[in-house]
Amino acid sequence: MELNRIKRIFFLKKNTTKLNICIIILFFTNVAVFLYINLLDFLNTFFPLVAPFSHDSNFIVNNVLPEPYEIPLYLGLIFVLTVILTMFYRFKFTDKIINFINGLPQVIKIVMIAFLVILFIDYVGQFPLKNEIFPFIISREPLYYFKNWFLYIVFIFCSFGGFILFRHLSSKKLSIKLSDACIYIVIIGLGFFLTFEPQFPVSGHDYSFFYGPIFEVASGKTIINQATSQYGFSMIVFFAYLYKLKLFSFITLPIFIWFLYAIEFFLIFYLIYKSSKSLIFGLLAFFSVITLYFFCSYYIPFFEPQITPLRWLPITLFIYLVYKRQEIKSWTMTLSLSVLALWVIDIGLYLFMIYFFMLFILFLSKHINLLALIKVIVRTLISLTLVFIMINSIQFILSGHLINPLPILNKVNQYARSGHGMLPLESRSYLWFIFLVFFASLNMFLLRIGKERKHYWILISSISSFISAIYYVGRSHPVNLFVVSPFFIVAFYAVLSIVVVNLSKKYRLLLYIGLLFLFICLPSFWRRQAMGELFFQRIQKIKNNPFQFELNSKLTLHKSGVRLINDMISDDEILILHPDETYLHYLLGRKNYFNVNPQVAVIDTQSLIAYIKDVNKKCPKRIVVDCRIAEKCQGSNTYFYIDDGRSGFVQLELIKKLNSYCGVTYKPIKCSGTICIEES
Amino acid sequence: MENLIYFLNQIRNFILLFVIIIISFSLLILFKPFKYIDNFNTMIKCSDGKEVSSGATIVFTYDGQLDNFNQTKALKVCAYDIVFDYGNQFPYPQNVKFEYLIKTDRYSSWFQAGFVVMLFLILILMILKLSNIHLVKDLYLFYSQNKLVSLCTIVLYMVISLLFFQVFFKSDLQNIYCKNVLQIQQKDFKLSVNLSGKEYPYIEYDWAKAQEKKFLNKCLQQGYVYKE
Repeated sequence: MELNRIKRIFFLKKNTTKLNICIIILFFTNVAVFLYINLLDFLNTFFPLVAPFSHDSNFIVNNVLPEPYEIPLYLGLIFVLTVILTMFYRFKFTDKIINFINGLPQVIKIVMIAFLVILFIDYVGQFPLKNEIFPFIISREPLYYFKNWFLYIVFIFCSFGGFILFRHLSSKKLSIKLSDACIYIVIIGLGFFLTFEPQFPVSGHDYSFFYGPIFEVASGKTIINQATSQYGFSMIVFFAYLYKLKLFSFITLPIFIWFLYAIEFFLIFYLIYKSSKSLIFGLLAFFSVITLYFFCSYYIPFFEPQITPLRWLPITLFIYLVYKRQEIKSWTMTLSLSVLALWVIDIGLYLFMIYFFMLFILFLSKHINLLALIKVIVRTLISLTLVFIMINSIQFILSGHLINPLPILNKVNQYARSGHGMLPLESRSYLWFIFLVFFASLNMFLLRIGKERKHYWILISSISSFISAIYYVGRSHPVNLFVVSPFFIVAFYAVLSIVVVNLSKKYRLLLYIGLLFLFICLPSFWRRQAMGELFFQRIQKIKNNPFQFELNSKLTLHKSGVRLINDMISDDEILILHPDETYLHYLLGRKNYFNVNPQVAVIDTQSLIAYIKDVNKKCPKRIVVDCRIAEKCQGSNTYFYIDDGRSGFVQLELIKKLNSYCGVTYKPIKCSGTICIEES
Repeated sequence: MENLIYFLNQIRNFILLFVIIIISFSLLILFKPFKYIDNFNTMIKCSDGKEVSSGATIVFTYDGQLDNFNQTKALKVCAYDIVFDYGNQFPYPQNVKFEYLIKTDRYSSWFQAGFVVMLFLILILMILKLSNIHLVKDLYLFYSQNKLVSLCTIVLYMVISLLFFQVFFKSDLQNIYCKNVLQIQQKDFKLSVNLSGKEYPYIEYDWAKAQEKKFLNKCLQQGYVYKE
């Protein structure tokens, strides 16, 4: 009797659509991972392109070995597999596959699923930076980290409890809208509270890529033409305008970033809460993103603006807009896309890739026809032009010149060609989860359920997750997985939100516990050392005046140097060859002789020469240099730089070129700290 | 006439089966898992108790045995806390000892190798189906005619295929497999330096390339480069 029952369970042939779809998703994901890893190895082994790239003498930053295949292969492979999968659905081939799987005994299906899951886990490997304390040096008692982690989990549990209790109590007394409004306010407050970094620490190096162009544009130069910008575009013009109106100082930027963090985390909560109609699900997404993106990373998250919402928020905002409007073809959407895309250059590129990839899928799946596709593309181009004209008008008011749009991608191009900052990708990586979510959402979209407009945003979020991961594919340091994790989390929860709506209470609870464990408890436990150190530093700073800005303290260290410059040089325009030149210009309030700020953004000889020649002015009599150039550094007490990533390499190259360009030799006459005055 | 067609079909099927078996085994060889040195987690433990990552200090080896070039680097790290002393500005340290504590990582797995074969079989079956060749069905029919004889034929056939594979293909495949082993180890050299916040020096790139031939030969002869 029992044997017959077991036989029935294992050898029963029944229609299991969800299981079949899971098999297809897992199969495609594993195929994508397998092809990516092996094609990359194959190309690197048999067609190595290292020498012609890395030995390019034009690049003054040495010792870089680029990975020319990683990003093109990543994009190309997923593109091809997307086309194949979409065609499978379009020509009903997936129906045949599903019928075939349906015809298999239950046991075979279970074996298939188990095999594909184990294979996927095998590909994924170890959690990034698991149990590592780096870059913190001091290792405290293991119990300290455990207590710290435990308190964090207790705090999250209490927050969940508080929200659930409030919802329960408010459901009787308040309208659902009012209750929601209260929850939103608390979520934003919680976002501010959890992301508050006392003393607002800044990386002098990383911030200079933002401060420099802002200062240049505010002092009357034109962005791109005269003020090279590596990241920002309209963002730089926007802040420069505020700077001009005296509404912006260098201190403002970290505070602004703090606000953006709270906004980003709130948007993620809102999207998931609204789509799943479950408060707990929204809270899970909210705490998952805070845990993985904010606390698991080993930087103090404020430290580097390039990893903060200052750079990445446009993508989240675009997902939010798609969710709100439930369409992507209107003028409102193309105009919004253009505004968001021009905020930061590389994120703008990502946004256009996300948008056009989405349109392409819609076209392939016969959701829009060719004419509609062409119309949208034309509309996008017109919108982009209009927004560009608008930014240009603001720039014209500031500098009296118009922006030349052609060199806008110069920096991206240089970095791509030089391979500067790239790192090889590990074959076992959590990156493959992004493939999994992408294929899951694509499958859901291509199934009938996804063709409803209200599910557009789910596909957009998974495409965003896939495209934003280019950042990690290029610079494959494990920490960058945390940087791109918000989009993955949105996409993952978005896909699950379709499932969660139809789940019974019992299964829902199981899912919640599973997610809490996998996305919050486990990652924070594995990163408890780094989190512990982060909290320790926070507490120290809170005890020691939390609102004393770190940048202010750093700037005062150049006080004597600035006094020296003011005493020795009276010109309005000043030539500074120092790693902290961004901050010195800010303190001095004088114009920059060069059309580049920060100088560390120069990575090639051609630009270096261009910056000197373009200036086309009389060579200054006195210049400000780094004490290392003047060979006058006087010991550790005065050896201070705000730029924590300084190399001094660019300045050394610049002084050589300047000497030959001006036909003179600059000699040191007086020094203070790391700042020296040289005279020709 | 029908018999002739049946006979020709069987020959075609057996040729196909032969090719499928050979390719499947080739894939298994190519994707066979192996261990290599994980330089980021491999440590150099100096006699004074200091422990440093071999990736950060750029001390590399393919087979776990440090050559003179790398041994000197490790000694200088222990004696002077110095890396990148390629110009030998610091003298060769005396009275310093260190331990080389190797950690390994794994490339591929039998699961992954199995998946590759599975992918290949799915692809072949799809192509055969599109070409109207019913290989599985024909083999099943052949099997059901006389189970014992056909089973023996298939087993014998597989043995012959494997012998053929061993004689004609294995050495070439081993060559590709060994090149891959070296390439994966070289990738780890670079990764371990980069993860330590440094850039991979060209001199190390050249060293790694110069060692390739020696370790390729070792791999071809012994079947591995590093063994625990």
